[in-house]
Amino acid sequence: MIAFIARRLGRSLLVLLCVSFLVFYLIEIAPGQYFEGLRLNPQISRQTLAALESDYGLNRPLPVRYVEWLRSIGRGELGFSFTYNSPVWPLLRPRLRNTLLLTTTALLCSWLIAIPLGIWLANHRRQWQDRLFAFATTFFLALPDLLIGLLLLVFALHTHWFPTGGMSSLTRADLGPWGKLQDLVWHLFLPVAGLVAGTLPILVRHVRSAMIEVLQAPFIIAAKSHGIPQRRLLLRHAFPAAMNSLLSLFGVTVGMLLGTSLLIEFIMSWPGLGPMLVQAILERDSYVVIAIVICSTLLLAAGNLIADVSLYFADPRIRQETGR
Amino acid sequence: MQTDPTQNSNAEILLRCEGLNKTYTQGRWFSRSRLTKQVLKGVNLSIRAHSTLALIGLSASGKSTLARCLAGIEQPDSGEIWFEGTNLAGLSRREWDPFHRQIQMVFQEPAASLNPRLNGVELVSEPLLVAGMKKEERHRQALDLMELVGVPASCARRLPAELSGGQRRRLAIARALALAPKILVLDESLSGLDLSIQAQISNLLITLQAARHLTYICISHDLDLVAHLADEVAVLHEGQIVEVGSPAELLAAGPSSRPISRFQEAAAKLNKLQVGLP
Repeated sequence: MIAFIARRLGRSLLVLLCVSFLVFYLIEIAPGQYFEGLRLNPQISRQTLAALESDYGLNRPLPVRYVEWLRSIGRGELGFSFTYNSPVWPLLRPRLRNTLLLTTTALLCSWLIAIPLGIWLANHRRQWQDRLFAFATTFFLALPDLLIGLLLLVFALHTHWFPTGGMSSLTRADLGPWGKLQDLVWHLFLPVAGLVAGTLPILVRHVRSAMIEVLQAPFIIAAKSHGIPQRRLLLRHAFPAAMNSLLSLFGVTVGMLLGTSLLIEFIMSWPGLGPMLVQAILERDSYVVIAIVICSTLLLAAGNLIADVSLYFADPRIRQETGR
Repeated sequence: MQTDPTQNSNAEILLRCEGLNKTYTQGRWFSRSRLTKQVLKGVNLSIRAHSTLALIGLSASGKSTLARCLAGIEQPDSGEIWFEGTNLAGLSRREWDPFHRQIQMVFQEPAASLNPRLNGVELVSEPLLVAGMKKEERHRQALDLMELVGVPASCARRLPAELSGGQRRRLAIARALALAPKILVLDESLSGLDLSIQAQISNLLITLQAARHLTYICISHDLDLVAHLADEVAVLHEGQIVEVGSPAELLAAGPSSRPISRFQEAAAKLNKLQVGLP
């Protein structure tokens, strides 16, 4: 088991290194730099600009800067933000926490709804419930995430049931622990709903089709002929067999949700990585962009690692293969 | 539920089907028309208690469909299946449930028909769980059943993939026997095994039949096996029963116009191919 996790961790580390170098290179070849705007200002001399670039190390070759950046990870800085004039990690940490809170909640909600719904639909295949949900999932799949976010904002504005942005009320400081939690849940509701509405149709369809495929397997037909009740057939036989493909999908949904969450955060002013990334890209604050991409890759790798480890526990055959 | 009007007059008959029809329909791409194939065409069949009826026929003659209808896995489109005074055809799944205890099926491919995630003892004891038995009792009874069919206790914790082909067949038989059924439907349950294992399992089936008063419906391509196991043979051809008789009568060489001779010819060709003769 430990060797299995170590192998997976090693692979994730390699992916992280490759991604970080690729992002470094892509930002290097992209037109424009942080100090590009200053060049247009006649009051700033060439010498001052050269001195600034030298101070921030921008005149050094790419491999040197990359190694220096790797060293900065060791110091817990993750590069340096030109805009904030500060190491990146202290800026990133609170925002990463907020993004994690949002995506983890959305991930849990999506799967907790998708699994029972998908199983139920597979059990009612080709009946009216199945057809109705097929229509609903197609409708939600066709809606762009941006539109879902905007519609939710319109809904919040009209009903005043939920706040239209941020993650806490102005009166948060006066609230007790229970009140603070309620306030957070109240603010979380709309962004989570936006993320779930975007992900749920895909998950429900996957759970449904994975279950339908397994329900036609010979061992399910055999179990049926032995008189095993439908409920046990679905939950004890079919669902564990469908789990393999669903667990692999779990890793992918982490990435999917992260991608959508950056957009939803931006629309709903959630103080996460999304708005920070947009600002950093616009201002060419390259180390912040790199750090956010690395954080996203790290979360994606963590999602896949969780999926692999869960698969190890869920399927006795994988345990045997890796044990041999 | 209907009751069988001929039940008293045919006390020896355990299962009887009359006029059984089954059609499969398949939709076609870009067309409103549908492909239909009638697999069973008015099948009439009677099975005596504690006997073995062998169903033989060429591929796609409807043997497996008939077996699946008798085991309650498929619903016939029309016709009647009488078992202990009840017409099973047309019963809902819930209404069928009590009869699953009485009529169990052993499938062609045990590697595919046993859940690969459950170990030997879990597989055999699962039907007992449905019968509402406690865990220790289930476990003990499953081990007894495994011993009865000749699967060593050391295989109790092994997954189907870790067992040999013969052990998997025995396990599938033990699982089917768990609820003490009256009828076992054996769908090609001995095919694909080498001769010595086939002989061991067919002898096991004969022993079990005597000990547990079982009735077998045995689907097979193997005429030697049919001669060894069956009391009665029914030949299915294009969805119809075309001949019924004892193995001695039917398998003896007769005029080539008889339907069974086509099957015998095919079997003889297959045997030649298997031993590499021209």
